[in-house]
Amino acid sequence: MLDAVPLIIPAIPFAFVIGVAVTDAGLSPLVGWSSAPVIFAGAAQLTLITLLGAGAAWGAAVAAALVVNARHAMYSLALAPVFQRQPAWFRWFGPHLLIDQMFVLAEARRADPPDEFRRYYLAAGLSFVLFWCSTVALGLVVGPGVPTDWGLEFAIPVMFTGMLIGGLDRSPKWIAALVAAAVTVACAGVPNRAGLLIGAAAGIVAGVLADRGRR
Amino acid sequence: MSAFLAVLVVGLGTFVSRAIFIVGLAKRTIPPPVLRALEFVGPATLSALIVAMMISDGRVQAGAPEVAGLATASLVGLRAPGT
Repeated sequence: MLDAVPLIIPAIPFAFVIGVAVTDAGLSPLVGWSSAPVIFAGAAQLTLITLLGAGAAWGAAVAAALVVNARHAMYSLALAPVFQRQPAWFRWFGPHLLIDQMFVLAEARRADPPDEFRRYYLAAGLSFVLFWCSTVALGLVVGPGVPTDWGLEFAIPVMFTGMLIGGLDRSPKWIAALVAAAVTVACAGVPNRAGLLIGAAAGIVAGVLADRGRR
Repeated sequence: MSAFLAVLVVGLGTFVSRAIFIVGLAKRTIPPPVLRALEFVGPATLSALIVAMMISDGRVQAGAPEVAGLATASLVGLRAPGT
């Protein structure tokens, strides 16, 4: 649970941004807030709320939010072998908690004994849910008066970088990470964060090829 | 009401994207070559995610403080492998 704290604090301003976006979009506060427990993914919630508020077509708003969230399928793929050792109820419940932060924490713990992994995952994941639902609510109640420009957001990529580099134990993994980063930069203009998917796919291919070259 | 329906649909779609392989591959024997390839999904996706977080308005936004922060994090990561 303590591991989740440094990842939770930088997300506070983001939760406020969503609360304020709901008010700006003219959505009912309850419907806006429901996106926190139901979708439980900040970037997609913000995409959906902003587009609905801007008067975009219902289908277009939903589709854009789903594209933003497509990256979760990569997390699901990466963690599939780890969840094979888990009971069925956890394979159905666990994925709902699988936000970016949980993926990073789970990747670092993938070698843990199954029981320990499950306890760790549930403690961290449920802390995130509790925190997220309450801070989005706070953003709604306090409204546009909340400061959202703390500059804390940048702490998230910094922490992710430390955890990424820590997990690169073989040179093909370095190649996978570097190629993924370079291709994502090249795809910066692709809308809805879809460049992330192209970059990740390129990185995986590069890693596999590099791995093959070393055998 | 239609806004709430949108939330529900996106919520369902998000759950599907998170569960698809965890549930879908639960009982399958994953062949060793695929398992080896899966090792690269984590680093590649995480790396792409970090870059994507720094993109706004269609370009990478990274000034000196951001670059310094990322460099420090990289050094810390190098010194503490496996964490």
